Amino acid sequence: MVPSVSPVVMRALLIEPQMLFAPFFAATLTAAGYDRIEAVERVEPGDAFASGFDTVVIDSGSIDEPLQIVRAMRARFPAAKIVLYAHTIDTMWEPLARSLGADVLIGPRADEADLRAAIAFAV
Amino acid sequence: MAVAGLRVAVVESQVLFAKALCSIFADDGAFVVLGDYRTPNVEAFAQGKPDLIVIDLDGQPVDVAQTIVACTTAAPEARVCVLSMHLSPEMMQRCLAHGAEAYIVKDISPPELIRAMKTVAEGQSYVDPRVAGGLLRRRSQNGGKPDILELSARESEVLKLIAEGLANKQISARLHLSEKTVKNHVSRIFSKLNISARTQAAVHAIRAGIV
Repeated sequence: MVPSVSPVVMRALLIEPQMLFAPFFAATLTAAGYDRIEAVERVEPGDAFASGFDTVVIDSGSIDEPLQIVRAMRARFPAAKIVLYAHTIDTMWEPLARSLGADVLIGPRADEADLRAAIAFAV
Repeated sequence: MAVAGLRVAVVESQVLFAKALCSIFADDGAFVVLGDYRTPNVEAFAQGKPDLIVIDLDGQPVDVAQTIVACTTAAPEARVCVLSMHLSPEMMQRCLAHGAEAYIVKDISPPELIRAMKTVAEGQSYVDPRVAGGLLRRRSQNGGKPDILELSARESEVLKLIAEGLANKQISARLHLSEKTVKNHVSRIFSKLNISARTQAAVHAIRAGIV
């Protein structure tokens, strides 16, 4: 008898304060193969989540302290890939974000293909 | 205006968000997306004659007034809808004063955006109720009088020069206006701000960040 294997469920957390854009990002994540997507406007370092996440996507542009959120998400979900969408990227910001736990950074010129690539890399 | 076949142009500095906005409109049968642009595209607007221009204010490289005026100049028939992440009565007032018909905060859902856009297309205005509420409260505290942000662009310019200490004659030379015209502007500024002295005008200008 062949033991049954549970399908792998891919989970993503989307932090998008501009909720107008959340469905677009969620649809892109779904198309990339994510089964469960939790979209939130904001997180606090102490927030509780029902499950872990394989990927955390953060729109940093409208978050007051995006780097603190990156650090908090890295601490909370050590195995997750963190994709940071930045509205501006400068030479200091990128290494800082990476040092705090961001795996992939995409910037203001990123298009859908870049986002898909970032998500695929994260998977 | 019938709410069907509405030509919409999107001005959005971020490519991904532009695609997101276009997909919201494209998914609704009432809209035809003319294109998305990083900044107002005068040529495309003049040719495409959009019914609606949606501007995401955040990330635009120039002042809101310039952005809106560039759109309304290129497409005088278009109704301009501003998206912003700021729940700011001041910003809303500036947008409306410069020709926008809508001020929409980006925490709304896509169906709400569609509803707002159709409202504007029908000839009405739309403002985020939370921001409008703040504005009404401020007006009520101000005895029902409009405030500095309701000055016209020219009046704001004159006010700035008053605050810099220029006399009417100097202002007229600086702005290439007659002294009588400057006097009229000053009179309207005083009336709108409910003040009677140039020093008070300067204080208003400084508080409003005009200088």
